[in-house]
Amino acid sequence: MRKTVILGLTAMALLVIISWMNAPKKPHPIAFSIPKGWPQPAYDFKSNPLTEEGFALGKKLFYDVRLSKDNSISCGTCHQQFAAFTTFDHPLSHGINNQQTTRNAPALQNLAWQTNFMADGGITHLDLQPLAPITAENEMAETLENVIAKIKSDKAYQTMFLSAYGDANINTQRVGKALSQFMLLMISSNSKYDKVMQGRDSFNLPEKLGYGIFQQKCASCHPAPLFTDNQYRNAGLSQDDVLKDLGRMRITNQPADSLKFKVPSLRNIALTAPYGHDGRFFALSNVFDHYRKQMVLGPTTDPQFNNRLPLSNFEIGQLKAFLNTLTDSVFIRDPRFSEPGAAAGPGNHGH
Amino acid sequence: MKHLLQYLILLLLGFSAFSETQAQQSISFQHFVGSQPLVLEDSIKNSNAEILVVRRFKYYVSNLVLIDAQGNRQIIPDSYYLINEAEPNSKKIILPNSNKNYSAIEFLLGVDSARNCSGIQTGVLDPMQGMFWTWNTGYVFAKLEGSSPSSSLPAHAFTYHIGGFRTGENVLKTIRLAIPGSSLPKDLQVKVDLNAWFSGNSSLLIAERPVCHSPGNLAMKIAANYAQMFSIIQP
Ligand code: HEC
Ligand code: HEC
Repeated sequence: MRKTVILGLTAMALLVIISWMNAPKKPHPIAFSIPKGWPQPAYDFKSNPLTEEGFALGKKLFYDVRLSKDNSISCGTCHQQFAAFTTFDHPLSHGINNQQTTRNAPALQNLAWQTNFMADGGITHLDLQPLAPITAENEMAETLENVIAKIKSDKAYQTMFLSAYGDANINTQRVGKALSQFMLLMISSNSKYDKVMQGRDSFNLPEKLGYGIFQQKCASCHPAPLFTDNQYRNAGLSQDDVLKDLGRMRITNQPADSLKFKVPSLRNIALTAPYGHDGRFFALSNVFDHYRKQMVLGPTTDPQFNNRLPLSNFEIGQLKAFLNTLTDSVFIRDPRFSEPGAAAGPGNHGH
Repeated sequence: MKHLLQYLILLLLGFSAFSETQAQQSISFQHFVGSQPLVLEDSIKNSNAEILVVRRFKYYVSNLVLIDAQGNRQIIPDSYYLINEAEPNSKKIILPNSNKNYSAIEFLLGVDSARNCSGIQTGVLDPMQGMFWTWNTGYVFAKLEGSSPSSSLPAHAFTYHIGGFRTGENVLKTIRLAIPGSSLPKDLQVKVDLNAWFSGNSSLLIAERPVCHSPGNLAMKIAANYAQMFSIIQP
């Protein structure tokens, strides 16, 4: 009797020691700091606590070409840091086999404050966003099964999942959460504009005049600090007869939403040309000419544009000066977000 | 040493699991076209006299509730099942142990809006199962794919991907089935008749509408049809 008790106790003690030895080290939490004066983020961090290990895993996934069918394209191929994570100088981005996307890649920044993603708002959670480019035939054209299989067979990933999540289980959910961790920390809040607002810098005269005009003519749809109201609006862009993009109506099936697109943020706008949901405007001057002259007024055009948006050449000059203050050179050079082993610059990226 | 211990624990667990299944009750879904059992890739005629071959037939059953004669509802927590004709095991739902008698079962045909709205799910709800729209967040609740000479599409294909949980396009259906004799048999047999897709409520001709790939009016019409595909087979 006594013998069995001792034996049992020894076995239990052994078990405890073994499990203690096997237990992975706890991941190191990262605090998400909200820039001063900004609203609470929309992302539910409780469902996906940020950690150094989760972020590192997300970064590896973001720059991994194995997420595409022929191992040629990563998220970073279309979302380039030096262009505020848009595709530099491309109206539409290139997917595999020389195919094109149907929309202009937007800047990836301040995603924690966004509830809906894509120009039509069709995706309702940041964790779900990667599934769209991975599986789209004209983007990465890969199946989720294959992506998970490729990741599972990689030793480095096995270790990284273990240290990020405490066990080596690899699934779609964890891939999505890790990518979110990487993207959630892409906060752009260090532009000259921000420094001026914090009293650490000051506008020159054109910037100051431009800021005044912006407040009057643009801020109703592009309000600070995010420079978007995250609503869907028709800014009078005629429908492209090849792409035939209905915008928000594609998601809601409501004719009232026809040709409405998510109001884009104007942060880093000087770096993200071309502009518009299909990249039809090559430069900011084309956007201004659209607002004041070419706008097509239809049944769903925003009522604020009943008289289009009159702008004088002088006003355009000042507005450009102000918009340039939204460039965040810290963000586009932040090594935390840089492609491992690549120097930032257009020269390194195909075309 | 470690391996031996793990092995012993596994063995013990295995035994207990084995003994449990002995007493377990289950629900089995049997797929038919009219009175003919469905066989994938076999040519069949539906209730509209259209000839078709079914390649894929899958749907979500979730939020299962067992209801006793007094109307008490036993909600099965976290109950999500993907019934797939191509995977025989998926067609049998094992119920948690219970000695009670039930007079009805109730379930959602589809996935509740909470699970549509809270990021990436795991298990049968993993988007990897191919029952998820990546460009317009939401689950495909039911999928019927195949070919038919009536279809005018390339390869005479037809594809019905039915889903939608938002107001105005909601196709979540609550299915309630009374159990004959108010006594849950060891393995309750549920007949699922594909003909309901084509003629349950209104007629759906493959010749006219060979494709449904998004939430909206057509999806709502088809869901109103297939909501009638379930019945209990008398033991
Ligand atoms: C082939 C180019 C391409 C690839 C590869 C790509 N994207 Fe994108 N991304 C785009 C385009 C184009 C859009 C805009 C789509 C739209 O609005 O319909 C977009 C939109 C987004 C958005 C939404 C931003 C917003 O403000 O709504 C996020 C987030 C994003 N991508 C992340 C990723 C991640 C993560 C990956 C890798 C898994 C990835 N992208 C791969 C081109 C690409
Ligand atoms: C009534 C709302 C509204 C007002 C006012 C407005 N915009 Fe916009 N803006 C939009 C919408 C919507 C889009 C997206 C259009 C599209 O792609 O279909 C947009 C797009 C843009 C773009 C292109 C951004 C990109 O990344 O593609 C720029 C630049 C821009 N606006 C600047 C301005 C400026 C400067 C003003 C003031 C002179 C202004 N907007 C006033 C709604 C508005």
